[in-house]
Amino acid sequence: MGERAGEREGAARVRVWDGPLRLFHWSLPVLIAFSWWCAESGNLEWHRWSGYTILTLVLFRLVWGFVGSDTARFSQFVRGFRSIGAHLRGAAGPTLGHNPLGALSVVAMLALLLAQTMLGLFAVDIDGIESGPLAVFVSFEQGRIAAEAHHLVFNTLLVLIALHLLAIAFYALVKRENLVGPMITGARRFEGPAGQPPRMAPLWRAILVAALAAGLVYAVAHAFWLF
Amino acid sequence: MRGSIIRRASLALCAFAVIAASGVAMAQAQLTPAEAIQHRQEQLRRLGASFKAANDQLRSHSPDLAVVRTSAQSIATLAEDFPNWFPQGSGPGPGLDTHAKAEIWSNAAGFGEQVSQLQAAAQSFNQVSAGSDVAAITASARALGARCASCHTDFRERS
Repeated sequence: MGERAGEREGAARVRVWDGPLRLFHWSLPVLIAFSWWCAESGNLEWHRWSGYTILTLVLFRLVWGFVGSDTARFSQFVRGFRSIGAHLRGAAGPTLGHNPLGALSVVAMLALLLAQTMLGLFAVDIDGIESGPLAVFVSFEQGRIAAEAHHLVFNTLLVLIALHLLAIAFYALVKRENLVGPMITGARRFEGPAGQPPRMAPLWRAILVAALAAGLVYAVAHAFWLF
Repeated sequence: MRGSIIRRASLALCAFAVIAASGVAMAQAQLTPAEAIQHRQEQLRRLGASFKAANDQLRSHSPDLAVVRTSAQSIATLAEDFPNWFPQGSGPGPGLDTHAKAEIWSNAAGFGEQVSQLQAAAQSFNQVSAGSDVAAITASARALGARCASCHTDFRERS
């Protein structure tokens, strides 16, 4: 996000994050925490449903990154390592959506969440009784490897989440910029160059993408009715 | 004189029997701790693989009960052999890579109780699987799984 977005004169209030993206964002900490708790307390049925929901959200976000609002699109904020350097030097102007550094975090988070949910689909527990829906297609050994990797990726995810929280705190305390508010309300003050405000994608498109994602995950949950 | 020959022959026979018996015991104890751990892990993986094969079928839309029965039989056999996989010295120790907790040996009575319950559940699963009531077989499988889980909770280090 841009520099020092305070209550300046001339700073316009701009819509930056669309509703579907915000709903996606805030669902994740709730579902990740719930998934963890379910696994710890042995509620594997709920754990699977929580995982299916996360997978649906991630698939939604991946597609939304191509057909969503301007600020949701990967083409808008995934700009490569040169732009990260420019951003860090302050050479680039204020950004309205994710800045190039934040883009790294977004990509890493989505990649880890996708990996985690997909590993879960094939995981088998130590007792050989609980497993993901696609574990029927792999051996016990392979399912055990998926389970171990599922644990490892979770720990990596925790590190990334910690970094994410530190970054938010850094922006709040050091750069005096509130990133949480805009992710809730969808709007922020922006005193950058007055240009076109970001185009918001229509709600029906979000519903359609979400429905397609949910349909795919539903099929996965039933192992595509192949077994 | 004859009495003493019979006495000496009996003594020799006894001595031979004792040596032979200890030879058998030594043959069984010839696995090093590391080998015992590896053997145990192999057997447990076979057990897990059999149980997975059964559970995969029970989750399927049209369970193949022949697979379930074969698995149930393997599990019952493995469960009978289970106590032999934990010889003294195959627990945690320097240079030994095992998830087995020391309590298996320090609380042998408790562990033995868990093993007995496993064997009972495995026999029950084997018997129920001989029939065709999928719901009953599934319930029996769940009960068996609960036995695995409860013993793992008490006697296996978390991965």
